[in-house]
Amino acid sequence: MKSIRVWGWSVWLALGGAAAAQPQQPSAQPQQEDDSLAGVMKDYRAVQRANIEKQEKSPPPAGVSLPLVTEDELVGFVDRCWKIYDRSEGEPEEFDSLRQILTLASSSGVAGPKLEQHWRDAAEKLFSDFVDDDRMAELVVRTPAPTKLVREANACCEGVKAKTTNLNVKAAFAYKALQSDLSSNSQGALNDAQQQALVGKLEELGRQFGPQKVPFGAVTYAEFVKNTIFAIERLKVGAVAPDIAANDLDGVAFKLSDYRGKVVMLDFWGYW
Amino acid sequence: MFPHERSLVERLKDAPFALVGVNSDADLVEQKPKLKEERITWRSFWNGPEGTSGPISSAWNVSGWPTLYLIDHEGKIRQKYVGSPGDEVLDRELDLLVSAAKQAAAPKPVGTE
Repeated sequence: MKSIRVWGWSVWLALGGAAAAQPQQPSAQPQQEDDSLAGVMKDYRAVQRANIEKQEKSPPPAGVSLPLVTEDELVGFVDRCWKIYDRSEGEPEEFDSLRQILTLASSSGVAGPKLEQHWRDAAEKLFSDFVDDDRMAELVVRTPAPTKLVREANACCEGVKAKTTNLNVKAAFAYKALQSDLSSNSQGALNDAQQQALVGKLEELGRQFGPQKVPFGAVTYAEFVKNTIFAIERLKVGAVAPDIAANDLDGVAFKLSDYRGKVVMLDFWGYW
Repeated sequence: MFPHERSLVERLKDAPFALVGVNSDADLVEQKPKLKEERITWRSFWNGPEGTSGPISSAWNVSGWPTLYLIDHEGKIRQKYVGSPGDEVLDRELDLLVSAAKQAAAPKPVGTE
């Protein structure tokens, strides 16, 4: 509603205020298309928002959930990514546009045959041309894929694993192999022996890839391993909480142990 | 999350309880006004300019937001939640811990003077 009101107001101003008596019809403005990847994603989000508004105004019948972006709309965005790919050989966008296609084609509940084909085309180039690219590390840890193509995505990753000579990418595979153990551990599902085994595997990861960077984070594997082992051994239920000594939001120093004698709910939060 | 946190702080204001935050916004200046708006009165450590990759959340291996730890009066970790477990669970667990803390703090029965 809000945006409609704003639109009405700006049109009214643009037409010279009340003097303009023409009926206010939303005209299809010929818009300059922003032909960067950021531009594509901006337009994608705009379409998403517009569709949400449409659905709020006239909700679909009960039990029917419509996708926020249709397959045809997504194909339009994918086509724009291909255009970027075609003109960016040797540029960072060459990789990024392909990755964006994988992501767009993986929108849950939308992917049909057209998007699946685009996913395959992009994956074929990505997973053969960039096996030694640092950016592949994140992609093998989290590979966007339509539900039906998860198996193909795994096969693509296995192909990279066999071929890559890049240390960051190799490290990513070792890291990925520990993910299910790590998530069981954070849910408290590992017994002492299993935790011990996980600590051993983590130490090995640190030995092999210490200086490399962990995907999606700012830390090195050496730091990651240190922190994770600390968490396993010191942050488990029943252990005395490690102390925290830092500044509050006004820059005044305090410590977690200041609250000894009280029950503390320690809340990791943020607005972002 | 904030409304329940506010009501917790209010409800347990006379109990041996403290809500301590670790705030992971990279930009403090930007969020200061919001603290007032949301009536966030409890104290928070600041995780530093690296935001969610800051030193405290890294040391505590925080992988999801919010992450909550319930710590008893002896400083021992009693519960850990990645994502809120829901208001009811939190209320129940905290009440248990608070009553244990009260018991520990109660003066020991003394004999005759």
